[in-house]
Amino acid sequence: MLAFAGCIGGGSDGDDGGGGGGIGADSVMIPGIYDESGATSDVGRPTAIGSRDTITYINENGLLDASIDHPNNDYAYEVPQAQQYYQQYTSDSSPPLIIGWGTADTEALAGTVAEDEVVYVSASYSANLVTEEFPYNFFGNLDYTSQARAHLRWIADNDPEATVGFIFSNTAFGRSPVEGGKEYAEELGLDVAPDINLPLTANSATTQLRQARDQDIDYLIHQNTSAPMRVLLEDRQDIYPELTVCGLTYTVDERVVQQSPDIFEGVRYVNAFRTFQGALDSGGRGADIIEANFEREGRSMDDPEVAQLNYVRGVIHALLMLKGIQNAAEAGNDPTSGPNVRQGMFGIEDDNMFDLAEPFSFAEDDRRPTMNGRLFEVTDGSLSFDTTVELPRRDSWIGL
Amino acid sequence: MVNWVTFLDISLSGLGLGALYALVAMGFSLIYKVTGVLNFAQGQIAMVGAYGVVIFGTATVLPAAIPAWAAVLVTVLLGVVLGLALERVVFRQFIGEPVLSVIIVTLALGSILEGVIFFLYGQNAQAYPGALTLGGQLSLPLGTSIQAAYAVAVAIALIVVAVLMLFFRQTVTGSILRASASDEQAAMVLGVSIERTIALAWTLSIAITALGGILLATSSGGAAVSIENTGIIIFAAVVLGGLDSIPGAFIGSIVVGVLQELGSYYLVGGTAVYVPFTNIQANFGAGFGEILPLILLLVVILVKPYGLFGTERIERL
Repeated sequence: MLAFAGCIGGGSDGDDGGGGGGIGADSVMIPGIYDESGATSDVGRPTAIGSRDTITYINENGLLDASIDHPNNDYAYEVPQAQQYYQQYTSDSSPPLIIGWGTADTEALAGTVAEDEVVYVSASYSANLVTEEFPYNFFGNLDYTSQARAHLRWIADNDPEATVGFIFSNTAFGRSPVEGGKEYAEELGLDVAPDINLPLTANSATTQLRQARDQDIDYLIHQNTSAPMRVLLEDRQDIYPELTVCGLTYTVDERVVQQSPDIFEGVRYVNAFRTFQGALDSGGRGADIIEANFEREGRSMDDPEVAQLNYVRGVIHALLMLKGIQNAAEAGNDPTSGPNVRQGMFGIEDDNMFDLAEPFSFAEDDRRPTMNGRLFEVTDGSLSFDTTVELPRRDSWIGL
Repeated sequence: MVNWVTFLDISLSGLGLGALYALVAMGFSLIYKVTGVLNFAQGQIAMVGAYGVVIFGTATVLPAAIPAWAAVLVTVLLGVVLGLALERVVFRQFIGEPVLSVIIVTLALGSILEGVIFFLYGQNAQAYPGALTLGGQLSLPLGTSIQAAYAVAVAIALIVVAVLMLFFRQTVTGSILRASASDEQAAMVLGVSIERTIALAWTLSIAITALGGILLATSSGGAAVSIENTGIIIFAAVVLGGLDSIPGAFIGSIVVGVLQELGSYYLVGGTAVYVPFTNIQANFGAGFGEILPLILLLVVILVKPYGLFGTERIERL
């Protein structure tokens, strides 16, 4: 795939090739490495669709002077496949930015993208990815640990005598929020119970719930995907119905809630962006984009397979790309260059992604987009917004 | 100090989980017993059974849904049809061929079945119709209880194992199946239709496995691709019980289920027991519950290579 990086009109600015806000290229290549058939495709597919739809919208509505060329592949959540696609996209050309996906592949590629100076926007919210070690990684959400912190802050405010516990799959993704989360829980004065393991492939959670019950856990913070969440909640009814489960970003979405409203009732959830309906209700430009996408592609707003918060996640990935390129161009830099787009990402300040998310800001020394967690509670088969928790932006939390 | 009610509760959960595994394991043993084939598609067949109820009982693929009980029935009947079709189209071609060829075919079959489900639903878990989600607990003596879904699984697994044992020991067809399993050539000389016995074995096996998949899904709120992992767990169970023993597969599955649950509670995390006379908690870390049955499997294989109830074969050199 070939992208033409031409000269930019207006005043020249050394190697960056110009200024004046134009792009000066026919197209900019922004590849996508998505999971549409692998282990996380239940959430990966709507996210990929959201990104692709929005890139089409950007092209059709001329939001950039150049069109976005978006070759993309399904890597089926296989790290070697992701690495192969990355090589394929970067061997013949130099894309400034790639939209990626999961924790394992993002972390596997993090060193390479830094070396190749390719901005990598992905849906892995591991706090580790915003350390100095990986300067080219960006994401659009609270980091996993801060998602847990937002739940903990709410618990401490509402039930200060509570005992909390962490339940997670024993993977890099699962363990990511545990250490930092427990530290914050102790700081807040909450009792912290020993960890509980729930595999991604669990078919039963009775033992885990007995462990929670016998350790008097009141709130279980769950880092996993929606399939084990359903198993946990199914067994919760019988073993420990008094338990409140607080899920992180991938445990809940509109599809699973609508399929099993009874077992999801009362579950708490955290994210930094809106649900699908919340996005539409915001009435902002993000809502217009989503509505236009659905109309153009003939999608149904009533089909939670796509019309769900993970679609909004994908839209945000495309908007982060858009704004990074726009900012680079407006600064007079060549937006087909990864370092310039990276600088462009730092031009994103207090930007709520067209009303789809909490305000995002990126800085050279702090690439956490936000410290605000939007908390939801499942009631009557839908995700109801509860409150926003504003966490302190502590330097000591970067990477933890 | 171990709380005995908790211990019994966990053991009962293990019993229920083992009973769920048992149906899939018995399907595996049945095929091995009659045809000598190790069916590595067993997990995928269970998964297809689980999703079958979603296909027929919810309007996610078909334009309309049928009642939940009918969806279960149709799925099990389709298991029968699939068994017949597989025997006629695929496995009949491999009679007399090396067992390894058939094993490879089962691996391919597993991939095809997995592909069909992924095509229809991706990796998405799908909720079951409300009528099939068995909530609640069944109270038992000594203050113990078992989940309703597990109690149903235990009852159905016991019925299936009893019916299969009676079938093999008390019916002519069962005797024919045993005869052909014991010596295919001799059975053929006596006029036994090998094709028919193999077709019957596949039919029964797939129907029982599909039922196991459905019960697994019922106990966890719906069909999920994780059900195919059962194919690995039941392998441990059948080797433990003896590959060609149906009661052995049942007992092996129960042992695996109970060990898995007890190991996950007493040897992992904050509820791990303390080593006697020390202040050291026997916490072996996440996932040890799943490893514990495999450790026992290793010990059993070392002591009894044919499993607890398997047929010991002595060959003259």
